Amino acid sequence: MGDHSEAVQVDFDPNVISYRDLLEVFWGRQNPTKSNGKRQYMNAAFYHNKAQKQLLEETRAEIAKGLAAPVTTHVLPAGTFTLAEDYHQKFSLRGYPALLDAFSKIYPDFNNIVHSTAAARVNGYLAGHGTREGLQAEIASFGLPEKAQRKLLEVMGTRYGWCPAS
Amino acid sequence: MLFSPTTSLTMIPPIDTAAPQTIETATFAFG
Repeated sequence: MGDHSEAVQVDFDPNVISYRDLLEVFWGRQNPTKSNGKRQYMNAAFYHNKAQKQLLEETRAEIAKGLAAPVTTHVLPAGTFTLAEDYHQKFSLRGYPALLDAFSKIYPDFNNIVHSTAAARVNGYLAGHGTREGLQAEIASFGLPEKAQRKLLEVMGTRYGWCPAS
Repeated sequence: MLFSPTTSLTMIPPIDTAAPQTIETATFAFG
């Protein structure tokens, strides 16, 4: 790993979701006072422009006000982003070969699955994010054949207790 | 980075072809 840090990079449409909204998720999913000191696993946000840097510093200051210990989360300029090995990609989707196979038929080159929004969203649902209503509203946009769509809904029902819509 | 898929089929998921007008990148690490 060298001096790399494990990170997630998100391409987003600021007309749909703002960077500030993403920062709410970022700050909400960590303990900002707890850093294990290792470069590989550290809390950090990497800014891509001045506006992101400013928002990061503002929100870090807001977070710090409510904490007794200092914030150890890093705010750093974005550098080169290197994709992790394939076995790290779409981790939850990998647990369901039938669904991964369906994407493989659409995208024989796995690199395209890595960058596919459809695959990312299915991976997210399988990891327990999103809502039943949200999935049902967009499942047709994932390009999956009907059998795979049924499988996805079945898995969500079994794993998370989602019942079919009445 | 906009997604430019290569596929042997024409059934690219609609959500993958609906590229936004503007795009921004965010990068986060969770320790």
